Amino acid sequence: MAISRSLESVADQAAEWAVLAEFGEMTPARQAALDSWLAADRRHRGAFLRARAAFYAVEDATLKTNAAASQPQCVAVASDNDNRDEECAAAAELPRNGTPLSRKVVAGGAALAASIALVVSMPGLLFFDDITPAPAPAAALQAIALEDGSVATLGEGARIEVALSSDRRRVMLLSGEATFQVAPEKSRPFVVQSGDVYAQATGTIYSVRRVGTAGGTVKVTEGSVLVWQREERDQAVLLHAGGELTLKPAPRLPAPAQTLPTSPTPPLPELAQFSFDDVAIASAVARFNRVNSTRIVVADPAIGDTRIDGLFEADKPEQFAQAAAAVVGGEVEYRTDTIVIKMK
Amino acid sequence: MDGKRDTIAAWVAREILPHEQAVHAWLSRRWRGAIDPDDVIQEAYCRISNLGSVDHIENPVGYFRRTVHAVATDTMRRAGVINFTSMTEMEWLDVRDNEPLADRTIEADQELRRVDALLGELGEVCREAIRLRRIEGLSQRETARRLGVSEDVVRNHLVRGVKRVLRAMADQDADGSEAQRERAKG
Repeated sequence: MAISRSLESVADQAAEWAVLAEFGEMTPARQAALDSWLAADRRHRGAFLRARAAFYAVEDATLKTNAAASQPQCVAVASDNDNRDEECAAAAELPRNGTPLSRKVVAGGAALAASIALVVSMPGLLFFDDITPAPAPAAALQAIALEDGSVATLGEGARIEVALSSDRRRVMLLSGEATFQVAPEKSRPFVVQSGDVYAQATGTIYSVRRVGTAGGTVKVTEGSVLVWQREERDQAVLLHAGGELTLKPAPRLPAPAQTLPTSPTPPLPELAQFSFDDVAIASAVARFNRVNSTRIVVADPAIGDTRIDGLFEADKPEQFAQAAAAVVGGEVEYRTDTIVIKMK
Repeated sequence: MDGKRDTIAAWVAREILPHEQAVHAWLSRRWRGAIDPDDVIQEAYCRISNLGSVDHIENPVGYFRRTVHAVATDTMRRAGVINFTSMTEMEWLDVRDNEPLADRTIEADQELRRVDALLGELGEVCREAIRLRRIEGLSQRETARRLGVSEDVVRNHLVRGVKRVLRAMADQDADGSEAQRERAKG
């Protein structure tokens, strides 16, 4: 099979690039070579994405195995951000020449899914999170400086996952309690998620404690915080300094199939989200156009017929348009007051 | 390497890759050789790589299936098969409704376990290299020195690990599902 063979060699090349980019040091010359390889064939981009993902999977499986095998001394000395790496380097000498690392990857079938605990960029935090299956020592309050200038102070046994992107800052509280001193940045809301409870601020100090499997307690020290559960952001409660709120959503039931209302919906409150499950792009576009002044135009009926899943912010039609264009392999064109989704 | 992960690739590793083979098997089964599943999946990744952000995608596997389906449909349309969309749309819905939930769960479960086993078998050099680099934060050169091999050798080991994962995802024979392959041909 000639096609598969050529695909395989693309995959092989992608594997080499992925390792070079993720593990090696990228010199400007190498970066330029990678860029031109990516530009040479559109398949290269997909292959590169897939190879990078595979590299992360390999990496995470390794770190997980390692975390399970090594002693938690590293956590014990983790109270000081600065010297942690050295301390751990010393502690980690042990398994290298001594006991062989356990080859078992974590019990259970969901290991790969659970294995990337961190989407984040901070090596220190990555390390902390990966090593913490054992609870952190008592009274170990740990302050972590996030990349955006915010500070997260982790209480005993607290674990967080941080994902900073260009349009939002998201922190997942996996367990325990953490206090956040949020660096003001209006354009990037800072959202802490505890189970199904969300707390959003733009610049303030507040703490979130995990309650049960899906709940959380939000306590505001300074400023104000928007708190809601699940997709009910349009029904959020605004908490002010001194305020405290505990939400305990019931465990989630399997989501019922979402159907589009056939009658016109009342005007949607601000901040609402659309959840699409197997909805034609044309119908989804109609919903966006009802609530936004910027209109989305679908240039090709075949695009409108394609179905889409996902959760989208109602007031960001451009984000939806991009996702829809990606699904159909098309592109987005911005004009005055309109966004056009069309084939390339 | 600057310690930063590509958000989309990390998302793919976590949400998509573990399910890739199940989607691959599904493609072969449902489209019975009319399309090349490898090509379709490849193209689906291309489309995903064009996404600016994945934060808004609530059901990643659903999204991946949807994208794969759109690619398959486009392929057929381009090949000149007329009025394909409506037919496959029906078929797609049938598939989603007819496949018993239990089967899908088992399939996904087996898939994850297979991948776990595969990752558990990575060579010592691979694992040590990753540990030194990610946990101890050593440079590539220092990592190689500690392992007593050249930088190229370290990278080659890692490349081999990545290739194995990629092959296992694409290769139907990897777990001996010969029957599926037969059905795909028929």
